[in-house]
Amino acid sequence: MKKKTAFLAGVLVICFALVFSLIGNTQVSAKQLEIAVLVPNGVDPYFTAKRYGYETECEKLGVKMLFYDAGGYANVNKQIGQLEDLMQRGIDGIILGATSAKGTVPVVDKIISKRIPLVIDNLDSFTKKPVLRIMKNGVLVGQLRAVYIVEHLKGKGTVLVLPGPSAVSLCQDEHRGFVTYAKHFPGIKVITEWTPSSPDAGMKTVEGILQAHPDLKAVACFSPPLTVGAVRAVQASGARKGDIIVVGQMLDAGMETLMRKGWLQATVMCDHIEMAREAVRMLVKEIKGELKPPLYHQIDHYLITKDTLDRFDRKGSTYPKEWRK
Amino acid sequence: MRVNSDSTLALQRKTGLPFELRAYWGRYGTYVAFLVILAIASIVVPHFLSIDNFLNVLTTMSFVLFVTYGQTLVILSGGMDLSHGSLVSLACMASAALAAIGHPWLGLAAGLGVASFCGLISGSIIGITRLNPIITTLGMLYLAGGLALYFTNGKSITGIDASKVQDFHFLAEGRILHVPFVVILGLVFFFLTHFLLRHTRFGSRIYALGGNEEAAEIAGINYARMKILIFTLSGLSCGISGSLLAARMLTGEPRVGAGTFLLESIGAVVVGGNDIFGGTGNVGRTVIGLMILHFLTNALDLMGISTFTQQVVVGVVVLLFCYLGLARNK
Amino acid sequence: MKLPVRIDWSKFGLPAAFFVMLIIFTVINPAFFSARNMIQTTRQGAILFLIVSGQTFALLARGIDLSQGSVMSLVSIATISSIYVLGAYAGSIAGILFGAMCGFINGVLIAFLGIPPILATLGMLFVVSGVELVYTGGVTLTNLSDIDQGRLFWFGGGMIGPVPVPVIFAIIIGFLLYYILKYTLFGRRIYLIGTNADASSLAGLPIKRVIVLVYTVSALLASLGAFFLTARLSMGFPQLGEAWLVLAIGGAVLGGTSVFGGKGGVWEALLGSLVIVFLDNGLIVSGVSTFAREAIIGVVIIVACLGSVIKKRV
Repeated sequence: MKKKTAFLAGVLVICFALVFSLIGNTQVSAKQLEIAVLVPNGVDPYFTAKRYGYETECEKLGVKMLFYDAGGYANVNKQIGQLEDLMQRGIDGIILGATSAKGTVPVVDKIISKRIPLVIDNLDSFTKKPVLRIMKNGVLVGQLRAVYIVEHLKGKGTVLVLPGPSAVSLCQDEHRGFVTYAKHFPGIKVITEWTPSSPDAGMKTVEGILQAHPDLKAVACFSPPLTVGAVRAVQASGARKGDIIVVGQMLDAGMETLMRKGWLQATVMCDHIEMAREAVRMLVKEIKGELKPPLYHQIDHYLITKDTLDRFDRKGSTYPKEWRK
Repeated sequence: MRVNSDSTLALQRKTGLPFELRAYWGRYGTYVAFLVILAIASIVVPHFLSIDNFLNVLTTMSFVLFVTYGQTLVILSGGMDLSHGSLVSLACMASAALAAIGHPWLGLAAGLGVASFCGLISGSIIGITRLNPIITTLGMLYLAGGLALYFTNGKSITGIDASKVQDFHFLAEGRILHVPFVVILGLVFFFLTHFLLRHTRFGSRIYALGGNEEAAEIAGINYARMKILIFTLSGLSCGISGSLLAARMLTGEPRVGAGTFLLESIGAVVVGGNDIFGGTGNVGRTVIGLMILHFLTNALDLMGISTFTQQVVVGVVVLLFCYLGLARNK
Repeated sequence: MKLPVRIDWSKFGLPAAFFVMLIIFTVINPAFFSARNMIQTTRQGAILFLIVSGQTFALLARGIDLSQGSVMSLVSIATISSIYVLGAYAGSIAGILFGAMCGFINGVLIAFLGIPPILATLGMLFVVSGVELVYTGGVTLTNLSDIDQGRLFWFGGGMIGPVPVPVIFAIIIGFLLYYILKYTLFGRRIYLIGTNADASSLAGLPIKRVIVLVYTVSALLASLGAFFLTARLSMGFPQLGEAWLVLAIGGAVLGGTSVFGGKGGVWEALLGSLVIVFLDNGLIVSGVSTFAREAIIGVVIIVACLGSVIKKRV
């Protein structure tokens, strides 16, 4: 009896859905464009900052923005679901930071075949179809770190690389960039430790590696959490400032303090907020037909050290304190 | 924790509802609440009430669904399987690896086989040595998770040629009469699992084990054999999910299961109203539990609510559910 | 080979295995046994011990606390945020209290609303992490004034003599917990509840009060662990606790605490925590690749527990 009731109820719901889908799915044809932005890991401050870029640019252009977070690089399935959702629902354009470069290819191909304007932002999807891309240059980032370190170590020493989570293609690129440069110098020994991008993982790993390799001379880190964690471990090891060179990526308040004090030697920067704004501009142009795929827009990277800390233009990479989302 | 009968009576006194109504709610509460959520969302959320949206949610859900079937079996029998996330990842990698060298169907078998084998190991350890399922499957979580990373040094498997594996891809992305194939598959396995639990001796033994382990053994149920079978099936269910994910993405992602799979598999079973200690419940409840989780987040997604806030809402809803459904716990 | 003394392997199997493990790692790389490494690792062990002890309380009372990870993240953020406003000392206390409060809510949900612990703490896991993410927007908090940072850092990274500060706190708290569990009414009631819920309710025990206290303690201990970790890092990281929940449960159960309640305690928590941190550290120092590490930890967990179980049956 109870099964029948539940079954009946379920059938009723489906009937409702059938009826409503015929009536209720008319989209209000608005002049206002509606785009969706998908990021792989919204809690990462990097993406929080980019969100500021997306939001302000959308506001400026009068575009409505939907923001979707996959909740972590592992949640490929969820992101695919979000993308399929958008395809069904109808959307004017999509900006995608992919959770998995290869794993999102089938769904991205579908989006492109349906002629939905798409910009791939920062975390690539390896689709072979023509698409607009705005990308970091992971290999260059890794290489910049390597060049700095090799030069300051004068070509000799043990280096620890913390490239971040192994499954993220950007991390693989950065690692490759580092290693392919460093291997030209036989005096440089590279140790790699793939860890999640969190400060305690960074700290614990550097502590442990310092034990196994007391002659460690430099650490190259993928992200701010790893950088800060690494510095903490270096500080605790009794090393003096500058004994162990630390090079990171991006710059948050903590890293800036550490750099001014001399514990962090250099960091690779990019204007990620400006990158987000540019992604929105590219997408709107594509929607309006002014920009046609394929296009590969690569953003600039630059190395910041204590000397240049006060001189580089921060507009592209910082957001006002009052904005807190 | 079994709430003792005192609080049931206390609740009755508090709410003034007749005991029969409380019992009715206890049995059907989950289903009713699910429909209520659907109803509210249909009215409040734009684009929610449409076949396409429903099918979409069901599709994404289906990949997790198989895992919950396995977890249902394990929990009903009085245990718990924490290794699900890693087994899914491992199965995905195994399938993708073989698909990449041109043998997708072998890949499917490999995914199923590898995950089942891990389940077999867990089950054997639990069954024969009587080691706690939580610690055993925790160990397996690390072991399988590490293996999924080890063989490729943490990288994804990317060499699958899409044009050569169309059939394989169809498993995950194809549609029959507009209904996604995975959803149909999920439905098929639902009936299989339901049949297994309700109409076979194996099923009644599962319930017996969950209800009272000692009594079950005295009654002649072979603990070791049951545990081995149950955990192997649990592993198999992960294998299905993992292989299907490989078919969907045409990639082997070594951490694909590390996200929410475990939380969802346990969450679905319990939110649906199955007793966490085993003995009562059925797989239908699990499905409802999972649907609640997925449709709720879908509704919130469509409303444009940020993922952070979503988490709070899901948590509150889960708590609310349990509070309302607690007459079920005797 | 018959030993002249009967050894209870179920009790001494794990500690013996632990020492064997230490020996093996030292052989592979003598740097493992250096003073500095031992100090650093025991510091990590102290933090894990606190969290595992909290989980132990919940497990002993036939429950579980799935919200510990989220509470840790919350405390990390709350502590630094409070320090901005209140200064290092008051801010720290405020942060820890925020965490304890979550535990209190857990206890109320379980005891007064009758929600099963796994569900109550699961729901709180979502709510707490959602709330703190909404509050922070996922941003890390790192901008402490020098004074505050110095004061805070002492708790996590400072030393009293040769011993790290968190270890001292952990030892004191450990003894306190041991005393509570073994010699107070509260402690004995926890074990009673864990072994036989209905009988003790019949005996007129104030179960509700005990449960609320148990989960408050569980969250409080997780908060302390998070506090020391935050102090050590001198930053508020919104996902600090993510990886720690599994370790908390694993550490508790590994050490010998039963998930069905009634069996286990502080000693088991200590043992489980030490095994985990030293295993992890040993593998890093030995140069084992990250990926192999995870698999090895899994095998070790199973084998370690198997050891005690099999010996018991023999």
